[in-house]
Amino acid sequence: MNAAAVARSIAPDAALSPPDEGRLVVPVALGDWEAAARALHADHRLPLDLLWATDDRAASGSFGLHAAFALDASHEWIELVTAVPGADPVFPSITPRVMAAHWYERAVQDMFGLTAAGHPDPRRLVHHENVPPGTWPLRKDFPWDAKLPWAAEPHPLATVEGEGVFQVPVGPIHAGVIEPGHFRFSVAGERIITLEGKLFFTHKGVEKLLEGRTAAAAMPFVERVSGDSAASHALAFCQAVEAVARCRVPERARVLRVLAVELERFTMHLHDVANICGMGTGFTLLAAGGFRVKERLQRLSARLFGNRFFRGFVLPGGTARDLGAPELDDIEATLDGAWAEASGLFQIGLESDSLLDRLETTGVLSRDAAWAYGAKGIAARASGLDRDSRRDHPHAAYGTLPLRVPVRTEGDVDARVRIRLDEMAQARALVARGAAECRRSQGAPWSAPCEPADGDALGWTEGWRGQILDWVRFRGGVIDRAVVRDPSFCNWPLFGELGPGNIVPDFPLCNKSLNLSYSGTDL
Amino acid sequence: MSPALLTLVQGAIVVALAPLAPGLVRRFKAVLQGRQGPPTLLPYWTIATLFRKETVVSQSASWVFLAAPTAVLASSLLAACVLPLVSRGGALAPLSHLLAVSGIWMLGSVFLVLGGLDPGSAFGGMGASREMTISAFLEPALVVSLAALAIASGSPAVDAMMDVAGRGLLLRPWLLPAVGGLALVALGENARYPVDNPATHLELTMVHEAMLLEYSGPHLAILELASAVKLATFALLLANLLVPAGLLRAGAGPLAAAAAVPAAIAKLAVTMGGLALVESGMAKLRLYRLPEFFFGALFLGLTSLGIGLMAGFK
Amino acid sequence: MTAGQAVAAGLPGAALLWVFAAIAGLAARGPRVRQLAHALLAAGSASGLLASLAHQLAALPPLKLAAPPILFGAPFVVDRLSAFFLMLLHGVSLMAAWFGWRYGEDEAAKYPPRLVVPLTAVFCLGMHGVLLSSGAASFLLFWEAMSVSSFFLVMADGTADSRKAALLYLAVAQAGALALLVGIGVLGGGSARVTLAALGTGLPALPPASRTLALGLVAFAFTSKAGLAPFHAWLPEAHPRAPSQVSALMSGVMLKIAVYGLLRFTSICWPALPDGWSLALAALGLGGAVVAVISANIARDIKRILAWSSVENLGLVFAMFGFSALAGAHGHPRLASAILGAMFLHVFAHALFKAGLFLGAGAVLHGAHTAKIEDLGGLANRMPRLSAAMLALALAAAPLPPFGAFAAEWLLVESLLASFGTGELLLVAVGAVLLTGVAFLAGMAVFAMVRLFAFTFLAEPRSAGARLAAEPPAPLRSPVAVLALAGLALGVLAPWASPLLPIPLTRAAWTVSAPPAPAAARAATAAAPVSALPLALAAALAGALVCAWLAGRLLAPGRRVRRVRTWDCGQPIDATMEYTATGFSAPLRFFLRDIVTAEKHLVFSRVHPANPWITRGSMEFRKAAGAVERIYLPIAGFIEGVGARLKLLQNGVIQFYVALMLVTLMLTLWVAL
Repeated sequence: MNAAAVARSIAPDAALSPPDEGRLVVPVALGDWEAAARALHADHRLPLDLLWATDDRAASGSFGLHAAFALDASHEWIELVTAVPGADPVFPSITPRVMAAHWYERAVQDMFGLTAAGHPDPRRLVHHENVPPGTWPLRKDFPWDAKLPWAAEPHPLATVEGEGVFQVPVGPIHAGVIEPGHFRFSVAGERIITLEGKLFFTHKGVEKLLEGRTAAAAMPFVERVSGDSAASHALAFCQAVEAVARCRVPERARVLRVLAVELERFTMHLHDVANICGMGTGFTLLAAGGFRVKERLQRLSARLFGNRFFRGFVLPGGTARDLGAPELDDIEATLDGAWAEASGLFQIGLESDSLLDRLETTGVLSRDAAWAYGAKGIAARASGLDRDSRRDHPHAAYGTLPLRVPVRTEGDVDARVRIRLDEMAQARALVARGAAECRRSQGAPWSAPCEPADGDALGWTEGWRGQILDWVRFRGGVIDRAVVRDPSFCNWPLFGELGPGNIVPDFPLCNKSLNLSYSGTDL
Repeated sequence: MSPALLTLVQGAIVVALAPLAPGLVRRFKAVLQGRQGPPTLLPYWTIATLFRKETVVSQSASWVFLAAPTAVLASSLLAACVLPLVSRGGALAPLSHLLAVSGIWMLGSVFLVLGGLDPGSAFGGMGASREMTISAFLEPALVVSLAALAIASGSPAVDAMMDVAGRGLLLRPWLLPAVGGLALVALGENARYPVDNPATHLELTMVHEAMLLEYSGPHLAILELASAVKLATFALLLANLLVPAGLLRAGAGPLAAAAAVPAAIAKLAVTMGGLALVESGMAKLRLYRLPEFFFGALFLGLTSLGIGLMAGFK
Repeated sequence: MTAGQAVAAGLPGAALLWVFAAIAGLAARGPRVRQLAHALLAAGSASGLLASLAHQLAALPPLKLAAPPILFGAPFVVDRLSAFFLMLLHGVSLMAAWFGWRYGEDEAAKYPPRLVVPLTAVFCLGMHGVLLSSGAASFLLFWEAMSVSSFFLVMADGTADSRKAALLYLAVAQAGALALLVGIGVLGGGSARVTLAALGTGLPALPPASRTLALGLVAFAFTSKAGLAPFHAWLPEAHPRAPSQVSALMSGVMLKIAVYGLLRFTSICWPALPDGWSLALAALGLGGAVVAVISANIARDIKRILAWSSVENLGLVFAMFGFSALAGAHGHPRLASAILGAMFLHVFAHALFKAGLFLGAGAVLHGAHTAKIEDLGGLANRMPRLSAAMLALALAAAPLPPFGAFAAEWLLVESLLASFGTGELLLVAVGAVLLTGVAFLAGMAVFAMVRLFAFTFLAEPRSAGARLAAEPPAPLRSPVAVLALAGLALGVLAPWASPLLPIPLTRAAWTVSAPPAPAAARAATAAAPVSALPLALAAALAGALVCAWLAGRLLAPGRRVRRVRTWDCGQPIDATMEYTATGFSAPLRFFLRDIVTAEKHLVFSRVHPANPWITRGSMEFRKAAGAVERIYLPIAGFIEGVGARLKLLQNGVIQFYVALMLVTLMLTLWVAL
């Protein structure tokens, strides 16, 4: 069934415009919102990939509530839209039946002041105890530079009842140099009973700051949403902008973009495997070696893009520059060298019983949980969910390059490590094909004018962590509302499922096996 | 040299050389991993710096927290004085009775655990719970391994076990598993691989370091020194069991005493090199896999006893 | 006054004073008279303590007391064995009376003093009488007085749980008393006038079945009273229920009265215990001790933890007794007496530290109004003096140097090492098992005692009761301190303690390691007087402490101390984020999950019926299965299906191999002999 057929089945009366750029917008009444979402998710088994609100009170006196469901089979999206009256900003929560909406709805509550009626867990999410009640930063009438008084609102974390049960608090300040996040384990010893994170210590107001900016001015913000996914975030956002602008990106630029994103994927996977196997388990030989190899790739980025994090290359309309034959050779040589050394190193690790014993059966995420929570990327593919936006929603040059998506069913740390290793091999092959393509199309244009005026669109890519999905709406050439969704936002709640049952000292290993972004979650 | 002086000289040498042990193992590990690594003598500087710093004490902590470092250091010092590390036949050598030694070490562990629990931090409790488990479960392995050696040497004093060390082990090969058991006990007691990762920054996985998290300044210096002394003690003891050469005896002159220091350094370097090899080539054990380690150590000790029994303890 | 006169006057005097104490307690309407009753209790104890000390130190022969015989004319007699136990009884009861003088008044609402004071006096009188009776009938009578008075004391607080525990206790006690009665009947040919000494004379005439029956009955009577597995289930229920000073008497002394009974009866009737019985006692003792020490690590009530620890210690005592009997029967009297010496030393040490710990637990209960360990914490700051005494007692119970129980363990290990030199395969095998077991018990006991002390006294308080607690008054904490000091003195001076013990701890006992040693090795270690080793160890420990303290003083010139909050990682923390006692022993619970009977049960209830992911959790521990299900039924199943289970030998679990090794070691030797 394609998007139109699905839409007709859930909203027979809706006036539908034809699908645009793979997206079908389905407006429903507020009263039908819950039923429509439930039908899409439960009956049609469509994953919820994004849920967001807009402040449309200036135009229509109401808030907009949007939910994007993916039709991977037909490479389409369904965007469900409803209006929540500004005077009575309450909407029916879909979380009871669509678990993936859990955090989105809480974020909407905090940022827009819309109440998710019937949410089983309506606590604050983005706001901490120090934010005064009635603070709704993404409403249009909230000034971006507002100074807030210090409040002491209740901010309870989930606990477990029982004599002898206690909580282990960790963070947000850790012994290592990592991003801030607070984790609360309920335990009666070593075995984790429940686990909850208190994140959102890195609120930068990116979504608010993007409003009123041009696409070009927005790029530095978007690239810094999560510093380790600069290229993929740039790609997803640019594609949304280009869809609004109806801009045809030149073929060569599409391939160049793939090169940047795959280099980023290779680098970060290399880091992760070294970090999981090396630092997570204490097999320090692998960490020391892996990080040394990763450094070469970061230096490659510095040679190619002028910075060590693959930033500033992907721009609306194409790329910032062309890559010539010497640079393509450099890329291939560096990548081959890194792969040769890293794979040899990791082979040592994966032949060590002591390491495998740590990785196998640790941090198991069930397929049901992965599906219900809307897991993205490696976490989903290691638990048997065969989803990859590069294949399911082709973009850039991915439609023309061969891609095999590795999927495993064990759902443990070991599976996530092996998926990364597979994807590194894939990335290397994609880079080789892409470089050959670039050598062939030498001299072809690599940029096109991109002037978005009015309208909204989705943009996406499969970053190394998983699917990045953005939605952007332009009004008069500037951004009216931008939603940037890193896969970390969807994957953080997974820890509540994959942590319990493990012992506390194995949690860092579980954490590293997902390696989620704190900054990317908390814009 | 009189026996009393011998004991004092040994204590002084072991304490003076102790910070070298963690320094050496860090250095060797760095080399094995292709890193430059910190200076070998860094632990001396760390301890000296810590002694000059301010002491920060948790408001939740009681007198037990303040007393614990002294007790832990006392335990390490006493073990370093009574065991045959640099010399034999010192005045305190009769106190190297296997039960006394295990009691002395256990006292140190107990106070470390109490100090870790006192500030009421979850990390301290975590480290304390794990350390107590390790110490408690390694106790039988320690006693049984030493008992096998005691039967061979005819004396429960570790000092006398040097009679069956080195070449004596080759004459009584049934003792070798006991020495292996002792080596495993040494790894566990000193919070090394595969029980603990002394280099980790992951609070949730720590054992020894987690108990020290609330300690600062001179307290921390004392505890660092105590754990270095314990590491050096175990290293020298194991080295001496394999190669009992170069041990000072009562009546030795100052020249011999001077020669004992390089011998001890060499033994430390070799054992720390071995430790670095172990720690570079494997992942840490999963905490809930530790029983296999504990019972493995005990199994080695019992194997010695069993085979020794068949051999008539000859 | 000669020592003999002191004994002749002191012991009946003690009984008389206790009778007056019982009367005063019964008659008392107000605190004055009640305190008089406590003073009489204390005076009787002091009199008895001095008399028994005089008896031991003057090395008097068995002494017939002038007191009128109670039943059928058998006189009251005191000898070295009974005087040793009298010394424990009177010493502990002195401390208990001192403690009860204040505690009884403060806790009058909970434990009615008109019940507790006279019953305590009767309880002490009962034990006193058991130790002095030379006639079987009066032995039984006092035995019953002891049992019944303690039964009422167990349910003194009148709660339903206490009544239940007391009834369980009464059932076991009466079963034991009945067994003893029948046993005496079999041994004494049905005569009620028989003296204990005469019980042994008729024994050879009995048919073997009757002899075995009598031995079985007597063994059951005393081991069930002492809480030997598998007759131990009542003990951790009953002992914690009584007022703390009575718990101290029950755990510290009454269990030893049972040991006394076993020693008395076996020494009269079975000087050479059959091997099977010795082995059974050793095996049950060790096995029960292992189960008990693990239970002590799981229990969450401080008095219950102490009760489990008593089961463990008594198990160890029986294991020593069994091994001693075995060594004696196999012609190694020196080894047998060395182990017996270790056993007496352990009994002595246990009486001191367990009484101290129970009194200390009472003081904690008095201050914090709870004995639940998960609701305590932070008391070291609030009760620094009591906490210091309790730390010493916990170390003593651990057993760690330089305390009494450690000296006993030291002696035991020496003897076990010596057993390897006997060349007797049975002794070597049992010795190896015991050595491993004793070391395991030591590690687990350290764990239990650290857990007990740390979660009662350290970190932040976990309840309002603990937060508001203050240092207990001197009458409550002084007896605790005295017992801690006594334990320390016993540990340091153990080699010189033999005048107090029923059998001498000769200097040879400390050097008993028998395997022929190379002369050179001997010379190296024998240079110092070996018997002074415990003292030397204590001195060396003190010296090392001083050195370490001086090092800290001299090397840290500034000594600026700043008090701050515990490091919280940037998010405020509170007492719900401290480790709990349950959590502390969680690894142990997991590692020994095949033995542990508590199971964690998690219940997650949905917040919304349609959403299975958002839940509220709660956890509780449930007893997985009783001793019957876990021990007896598997044994039956094992015997049924040995053949089917043989393939399990290849299961790859190393713990199993260790166990298998020990078992086969024993079995092969058994067959070989």
